[in-house]
Amino acid sequence: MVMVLVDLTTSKESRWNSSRSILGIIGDQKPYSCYQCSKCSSGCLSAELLELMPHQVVSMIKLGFLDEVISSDIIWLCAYCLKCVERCPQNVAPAEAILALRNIAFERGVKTPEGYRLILENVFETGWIQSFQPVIGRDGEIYVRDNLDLPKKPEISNMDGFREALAKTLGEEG
Amino acid sequence: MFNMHLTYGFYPGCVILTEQYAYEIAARNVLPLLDVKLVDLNNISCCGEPLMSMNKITWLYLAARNIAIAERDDLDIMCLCNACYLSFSKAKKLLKEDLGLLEKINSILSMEGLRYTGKSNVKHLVEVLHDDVGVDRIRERIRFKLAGLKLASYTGCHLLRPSSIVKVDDPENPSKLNRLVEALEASSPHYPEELECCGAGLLIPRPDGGLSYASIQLKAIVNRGFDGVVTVCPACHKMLDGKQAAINQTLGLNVELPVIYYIQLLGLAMGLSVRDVGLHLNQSPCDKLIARVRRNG
Amino acid sequence: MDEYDVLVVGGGVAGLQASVDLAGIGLKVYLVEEKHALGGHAAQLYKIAPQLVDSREIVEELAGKAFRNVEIALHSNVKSIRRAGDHFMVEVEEKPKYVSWSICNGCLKCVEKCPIKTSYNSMKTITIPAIYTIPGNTPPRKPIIDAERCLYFKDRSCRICEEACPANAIDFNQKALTSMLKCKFIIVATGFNMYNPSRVGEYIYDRHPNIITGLELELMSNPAGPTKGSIVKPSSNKPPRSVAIISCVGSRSEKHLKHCCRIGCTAGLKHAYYILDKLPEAEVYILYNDMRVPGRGYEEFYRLVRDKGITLIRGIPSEIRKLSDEELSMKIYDEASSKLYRLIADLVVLEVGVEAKLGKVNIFNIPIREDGFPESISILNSIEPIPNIFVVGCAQSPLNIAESITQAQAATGRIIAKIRGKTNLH
Repeated sequence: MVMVLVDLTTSKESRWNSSRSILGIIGDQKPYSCYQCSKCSSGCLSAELLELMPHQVVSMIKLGFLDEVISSDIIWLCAYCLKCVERCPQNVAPAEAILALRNIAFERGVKTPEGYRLILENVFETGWIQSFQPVIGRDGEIYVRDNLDLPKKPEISNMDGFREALAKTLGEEG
Repeated sequence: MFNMHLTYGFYPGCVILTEQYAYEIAARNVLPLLDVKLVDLNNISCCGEPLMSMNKITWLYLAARNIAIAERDDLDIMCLCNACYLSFSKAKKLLKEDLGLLEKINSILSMEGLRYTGKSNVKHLVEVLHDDVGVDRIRERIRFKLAGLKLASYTGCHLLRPSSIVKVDDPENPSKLNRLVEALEASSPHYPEELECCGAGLLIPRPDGGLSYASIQLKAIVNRGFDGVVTVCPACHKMLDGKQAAINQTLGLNVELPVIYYIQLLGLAMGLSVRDVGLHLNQSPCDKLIARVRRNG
Repeated sequence: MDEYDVLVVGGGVAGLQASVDLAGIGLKVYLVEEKHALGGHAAQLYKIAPQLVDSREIVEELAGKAFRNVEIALHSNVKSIRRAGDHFMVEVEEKPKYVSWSICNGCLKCVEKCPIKTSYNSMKTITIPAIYTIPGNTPPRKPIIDAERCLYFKDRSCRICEEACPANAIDFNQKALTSMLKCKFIIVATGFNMYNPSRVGEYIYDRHPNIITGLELELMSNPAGPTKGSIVKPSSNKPPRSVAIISCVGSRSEKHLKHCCRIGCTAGLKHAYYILDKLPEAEVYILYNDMRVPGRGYEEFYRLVRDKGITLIRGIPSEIRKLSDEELSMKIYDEASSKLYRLIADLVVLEVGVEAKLGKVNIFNIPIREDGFPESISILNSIEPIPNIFVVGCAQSPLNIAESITQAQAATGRIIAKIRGKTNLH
């Protein structure tokens, strides 16, 4: 098997063919249209504060080093502010590519932050991402939804149907 | 004077229902005074936005089911949260363009006895107030003018970008919220950092990163001499208001900035009490702002 | 009805070259130009790269010959055309100038006194009164009144130009004149438009005085321009300390103009050269996407500019932010050092793209491609989309000045060959 492209710092080879098949999942963005202007990274706050360079992620996707980027931390540093999507002259949409990589990471059970799993569990349980949170008012009192003049939290009457449907979505591909 | 009847399916979303109670209190008390009728939707759930990072179909399903519920009740949806607004807008666009996906989603929706056709429109509170109610009508209802107050209008990312999906305002020069604030006679000049993200999206994967984002916004607003910042999204509000103390502590800052939802400010200006607009629940030092509003009465 | 061999539409360098050459071999040529001056965009440039020859010399040479040998209708438009056998019947409208040019001596006192000031072609540093000449080296230097902006035409409230004119040349009662002519060939050389920088919202062109376009910098560098050739920041009229030139604004973008403008990279280099030439102490940065400088002499020009001491950064800024009334701030990722930087400049030059003009008012019914430029029939024929109608220069595609002139000469050659019957091209 001839190694066409090798990363000299990591000795990893690019897996271009497998990238192409996985790219089918990354539906509504176009990493191959990227012409490396780095306009996305220059506007990205995560690039400035957290060292996520969206143009580098796109480049790694194009070159076929998908596994490396999926199992890294950097795809979880995107705040999804969508400046890169708004400004990219080639509609590459790096933030959407990052979301797709997160989807693959979740599917493989790789490095998904715990918070997301908790959210998924809560949605299964109750339909909402979290339970009632207490709020301490500026008057020092503790408030929850029940002791405020608000209607009861909406409930799903057919929770079984809802959970079944949700479970089905997790088995589906994008 | 025509009788304007604006009726919407009320979609508060997770964060408002379970945490940002103030936004819901204010919305329920203020909107009827502007002839906006809110109809509670049954069986609604999370809009799916946080699930975008996990599974595309799970997200899309959650978004579609809520819109389908509104459809069944023959209502348009009004969101109070920018993330919900983006989630629904994105879902609508995708389901309109990809008929295969629409079929797949509808087959799963049928397990709940729901069906999506895309009939219902999705609006955000800012759109309803600016485009439907209008600044002139709002100005008419004010009792306490906020003259002398300089407030930052923080529209938030997901109401502006990407402009191919969300078309609320000019993505590079938004001004609808500014005009809504100016309708209350406060001044609301633009500031260079107004398009930057609050960092709420990092709360799950990287909370300290999120705090840095929010601190940039807070510092910028304070440095530019604003008396407070007006929010329209519970996620942004949570970062700037709820996390202000944590930011001060973790990053060694000394920010004392009132953070208030627009609908709360509007309610105050219309003469509602602090409790009626949920202002007792805001974490940031809002009392000085309230005092200044009252003095103008 | 007057009969001509060739109608040339457009008095920029391509139209001028074609008119002069055709008239030079004895053909009867009629040149129609919609503005009241010749020279097109070239007349607004200071120098032409890569030779850095004065644009004024080129324009004045061509215009001089044209005035002597060609019948010219300035401030005129083609209203309609139809085929009649092997001729075209063309309706030309000469718009009212409201100034009698036969009497006007070109003193331009009227222009000095007019109270109106509007920005010209969305360029905020270039303002023109309601009675005005076209900015740049644009012969002949005689003014016309723009009735849409003039206060006299609005409510009769102002006659300042009339009062100021020593020759009594103002004539508010002029009317448009329409005439019909017959011609055998038409050369369309109507040029292109610069893209409006306000459309690229992230670069806040409308919200800070010290952000200008490349063409504004050309006019500023031009001794005939608003600052007599001094490069200054508009906020204070003082020379800038640091200048950022941003390439590719609105070009090569799915969100604005999809096509490459062909001339922006060269223009950016030329502008950097102007600035360093006039302000050796300034720090000049070019922020670019690709550096496209093909063609003979261009790579050498690129080297010349680099050696002069400008900093090239391969990385486009996502946005520009106001730092102060004088300064602008932008972040850039530099590919070469793999780092993120903040750059502060007190003058920013946007190299905006070029927009096709022909498709907007397509009197000639020329088939237009998606990018707004005319169809090329084939590699063997890019300039004659309809038999006997030629489209040359920047009306045909984004081109530089030398290429525009060459296309004009090609059309001339074709026309002469057809007249002599020595072609079986169609």
